Amino acid sequence: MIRKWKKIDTNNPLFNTIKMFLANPTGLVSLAIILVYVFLAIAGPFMAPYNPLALDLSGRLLPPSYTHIMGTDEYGRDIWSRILYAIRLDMAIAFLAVSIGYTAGVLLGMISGYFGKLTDHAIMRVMDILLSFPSILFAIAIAISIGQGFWTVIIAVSIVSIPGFARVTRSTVLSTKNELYILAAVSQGASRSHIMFKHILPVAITPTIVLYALNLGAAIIISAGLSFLGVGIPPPTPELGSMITSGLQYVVSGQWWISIFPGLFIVFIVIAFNMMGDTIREVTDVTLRR
Amino acid sequence: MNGFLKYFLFRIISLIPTIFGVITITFILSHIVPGNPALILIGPEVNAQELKVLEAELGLNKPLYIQFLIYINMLLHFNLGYSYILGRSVNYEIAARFPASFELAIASLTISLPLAVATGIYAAIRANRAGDHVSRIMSLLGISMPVFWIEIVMILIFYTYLGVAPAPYGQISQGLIHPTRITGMMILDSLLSLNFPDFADTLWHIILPAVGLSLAGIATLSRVIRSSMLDVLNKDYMRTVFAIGLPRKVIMNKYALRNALLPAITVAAIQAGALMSGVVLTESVFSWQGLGLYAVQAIYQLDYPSVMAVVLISGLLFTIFNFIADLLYAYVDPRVRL
Repeated sequence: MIRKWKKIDTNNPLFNTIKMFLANPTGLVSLAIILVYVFLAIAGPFMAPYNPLALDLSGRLLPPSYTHIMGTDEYGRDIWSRILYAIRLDMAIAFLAVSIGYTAGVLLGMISGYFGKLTDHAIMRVMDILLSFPSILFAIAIAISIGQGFWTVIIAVSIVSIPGFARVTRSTVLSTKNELYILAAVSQGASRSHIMFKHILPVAITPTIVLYALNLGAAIIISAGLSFLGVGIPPPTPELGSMITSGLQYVVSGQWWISIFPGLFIVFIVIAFNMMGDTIREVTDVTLRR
Repeated sequence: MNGFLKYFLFRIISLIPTIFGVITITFILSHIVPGNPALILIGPEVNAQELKVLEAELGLNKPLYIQFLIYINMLLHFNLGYSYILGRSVNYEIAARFPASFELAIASLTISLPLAVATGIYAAIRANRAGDHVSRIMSLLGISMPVFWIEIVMILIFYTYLGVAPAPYGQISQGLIHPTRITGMMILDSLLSLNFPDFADTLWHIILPAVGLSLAGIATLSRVIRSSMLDVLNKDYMRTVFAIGLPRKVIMNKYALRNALLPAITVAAIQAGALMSGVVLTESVFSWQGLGLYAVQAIYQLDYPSVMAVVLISGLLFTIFNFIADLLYAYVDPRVRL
């Protein structure tokens, strides 16, 4: 059977958006950084010159050199190798946690906006309450009640991100559900779920994508913060936040490389996610185009 | 003023379910603890009799809803519980440590608010020119750096290399005698007791943590102020006052700034409420003896009542700051009250 490739429709809004994103230097830079990180997350463990957990007590606290390009930590572990493993872990946490939060938040926001009345009130009050806790403290509370670990961090970070997604989705649903085309669909006897998923969801998704990118950055910072405080990923697993912690006591004596390098890797990826979010907002928001 | 009063009452009443919700969530979180809290407290080698007694003492043998009512009753009497690990009431610890955090937060806001306003307005006036781009990059950096990391960088530069900042261990140098405790806030206390060496020393100690804590706030707030200032500058009435030929200073201060700062009030108040997250991290970096360090030490010792008390307090503070933001907004913008 001959498969016919569909010709790309240049008037397709999605195609245009992607084109505008790539034409934007900020967008391009952010995409490049993120791709590098994705590459490191996948290939990192194969590139790592040393075992990230291997102790070498004779090679403790070595400054950056040709053998250890980012130096070694207080147990003589190679920092570059640990960073490569940590990037995989932190990227996995960020993407998983924000995706879970995204799904839950968008669903709740749609239900809230579409059904209105009591359902809306109930859901939005719960979201308000979730928003009332400063993110790190809420994550600490969750982490200490269900114990440390990978899934704890994911649960904590995803719960923190739910209210934002729910609010944004709800407000777009509220403004679209009385549009003429929705009423037309209702008059043709379309089912509720058909209207919600086929007619409202595609419209509601655009603003949430911006938030998704921004939340990825926030997720990296929160999960690093949790591990920094000792309630996130338990040592000796390499994680960027806990690597910063382990260097804290050595900063005053000038062994800067233990904390500084892992932090730099956090800063670059968070900058990239924030730049990406801003660019998506710029190219999708018609009102920003002048 | 009647409209404002009505709005005030409405907001007060809508505060109640939120506060109740914050309390409920804190309760739920502190009661899904894996394992038996009584067992954690006295360790594994203990007989069943003793365990029963302790469980009864902690109220763990009662049904969950009764425990919840007891918790609410406790909170209504402003009792945050008892820390078995420290052997003291949580209230005592909180009272001892809250002033240090409060002082740090105030110091940070004193730095961040004026700077955010100044840079935001500067960026708006020079929109899309070099100054604006620099401010955009700085604020992108500000929101992208983990607060604890940039503080470590600051310690490295200003203490380790330049030697101009004090060692990052607490609020006051080791050798100095602490000022007489009046408010618990060391800077204020040393000033009130006219202890000038202490005053200078505590002021010197607060600079790095306060600056580190304020960076993210400056970054966010200055962008908000920039965009609201731009909005105002593009309004018709601004064109009118320019056309009339009023002096630029009068235009900016009297017509533009006032309107531009309106949306910033809400953001500033929300950030003040959310400062607790940064406070927890900053205090761990600088061994600052405040609520945050208390919570972090309590985490290591599995001291649940202490952690939950700090979580509850920060939740309540956040709610109250939001409330204040709404009131301020309604006060300065009459349209909200309608």
